[in-house]
Amino acid sequence: MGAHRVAVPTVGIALTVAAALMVLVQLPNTLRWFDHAAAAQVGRNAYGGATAAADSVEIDDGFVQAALTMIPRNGRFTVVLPADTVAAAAKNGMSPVTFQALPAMMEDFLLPRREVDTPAKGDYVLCYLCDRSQWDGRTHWLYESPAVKGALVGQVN
Amino acid sequence: MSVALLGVLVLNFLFLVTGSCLLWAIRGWASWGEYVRLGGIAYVLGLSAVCVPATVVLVYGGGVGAGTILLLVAGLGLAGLVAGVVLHRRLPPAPRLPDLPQTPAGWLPVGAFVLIGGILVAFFREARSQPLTSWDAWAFWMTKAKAIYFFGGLDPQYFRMLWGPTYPLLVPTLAEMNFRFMGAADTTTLGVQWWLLAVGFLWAAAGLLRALAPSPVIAVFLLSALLIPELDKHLLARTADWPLDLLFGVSVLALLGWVLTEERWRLWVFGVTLAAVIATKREGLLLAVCIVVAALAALGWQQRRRWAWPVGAAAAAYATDLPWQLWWSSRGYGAQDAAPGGTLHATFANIGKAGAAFDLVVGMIFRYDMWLGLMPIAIVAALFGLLLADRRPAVFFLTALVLGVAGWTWENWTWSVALPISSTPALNPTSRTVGSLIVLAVVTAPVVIGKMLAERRPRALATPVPATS
Repeated sequence: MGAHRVAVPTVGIALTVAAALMVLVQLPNTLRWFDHAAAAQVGRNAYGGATAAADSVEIDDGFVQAALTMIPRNGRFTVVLPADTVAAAAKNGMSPVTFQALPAMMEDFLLPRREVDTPAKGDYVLCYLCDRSQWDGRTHWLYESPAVKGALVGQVN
Repeated sequence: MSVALLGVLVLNFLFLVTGSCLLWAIRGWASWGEYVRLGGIAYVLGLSAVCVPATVVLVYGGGVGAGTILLLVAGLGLAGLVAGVVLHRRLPPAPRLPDLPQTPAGWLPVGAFVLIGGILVAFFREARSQPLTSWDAWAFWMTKAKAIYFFGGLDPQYFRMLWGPTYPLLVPTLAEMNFRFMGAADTTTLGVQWWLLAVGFLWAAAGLLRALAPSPVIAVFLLSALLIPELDKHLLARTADWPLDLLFGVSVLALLGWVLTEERWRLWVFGVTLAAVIATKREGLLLAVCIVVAALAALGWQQRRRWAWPVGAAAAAYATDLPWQLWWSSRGYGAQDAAPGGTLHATFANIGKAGAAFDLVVGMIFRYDMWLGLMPIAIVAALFGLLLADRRPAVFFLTALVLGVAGWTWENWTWSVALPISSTPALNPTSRTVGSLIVLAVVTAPVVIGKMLAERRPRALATPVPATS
């Protein structure tokens, strides 16, 4: 009982010292991390940070900006992708993640604009390397990204 | 200062005011210095007390506009004041300057808390300007918040189609409240709300720990909590993971404090913050079970007459989530978030993967690059804590930890068809979900170590602090 009365508090002190040493070692890393993270944000908040988020999944910034500026706040839109996104990604040297992310990301960015399954007259079409021939006849294209050919914003006639 | 940032600060000040009224009712404070020490508890209490009923308002078809928020704040604040008057609470005399530490050792915790403040300022610089890039945030958490903000409630298009239609509403609701006070859906400035949650957690933990552990030990562990790499890298993701963990940390401390001191006000804090935990993520239910069972184990058979209190408080907290569960279950949304084939079927069908799931969870909680060495320190402390005459904190921690590991293991193998057992964060959420167990370790380790140190030089730890009455 006596030995344990000595040992247990000693272990308590040792554990606190260990935690304090851990803090001392980690503190510079954390401060460096905060500094780096804060500096990295400079200039990344255009369009409410939408372009920074788009960059994270390699969606073209110009396409996102065009959608945000051209579709009115009460507008409706649909996102159209290639039928085979894996093949399209491979062919164009893109990540398949870009196509996976695109519909949900545009839905979030563009709120309160509503996403629709079947666009009607006046609704907008966000075509990202889609088969544009299916839309050419009934869509007036308003924008095509100079950086990503086939990243289009259009309006249904 | 931008209007958006001002909006975030005003909203959070209202949480603090509401929580202060409630804390005055359930506890009171003997001096203004004591109020400052308890301010974090008031803030988390207020945030939880306002946000949980706000989610219920949404479920019943209402919107959470500025009027609703102010009504909730005023109603709860007034209820606290009336209860305080009825309970004969007194306001302390005018504030006076705090006594300065008399010994060099007494300055150590002061220095540590100043350091914590400095680190938080550095963190704020990032919180103020980091755009929202986390996948889960833009895929559903913040999309739901924006949908509530723009369409005035639970718009069927978004709350049926988006990922996780059964996921609880507290985080989208809290974000939406911020948008209201900002006057825009500014998801960048919203990062400050997540930063404030971390500030509130540290402040509340310091207040709750004060009577349970020596100040230097509290300071070291709260400082280490702030330096956890996963916290620093992912707090600002604007998802529900860290809010869950931080609210859970406060709930754990309130419950453990009640186990040790029998102070009734801690049970109130436990109940209210547990309601917020359950309203934040589905995993909140699992965590609630872990700590309630841990409390019963810590109390032991001899104190079984006290068992009903934490069980009752947890049941009341769970009841606040029932409207939401009825909402999504009555619409048949449950199948979308259930494990393939149903939870019970998946539990037995995939049980062969239990070993791999266990390895993943245990391996993850000991990752120094993610959580520092906090878990091994807490476990060693608890094992030695079992040798003490008062082993309640050690039993509490070890029981909650074992149940938590078992729970996350079960979750992993049950959902392993949809989410492969992998340490890659993009494939499996375990790297985020075990954060709650690390927070459990951070907040309970100082209590266990405090008991260990008290063995050497007996002191009055865990004795009730007199409150005004």
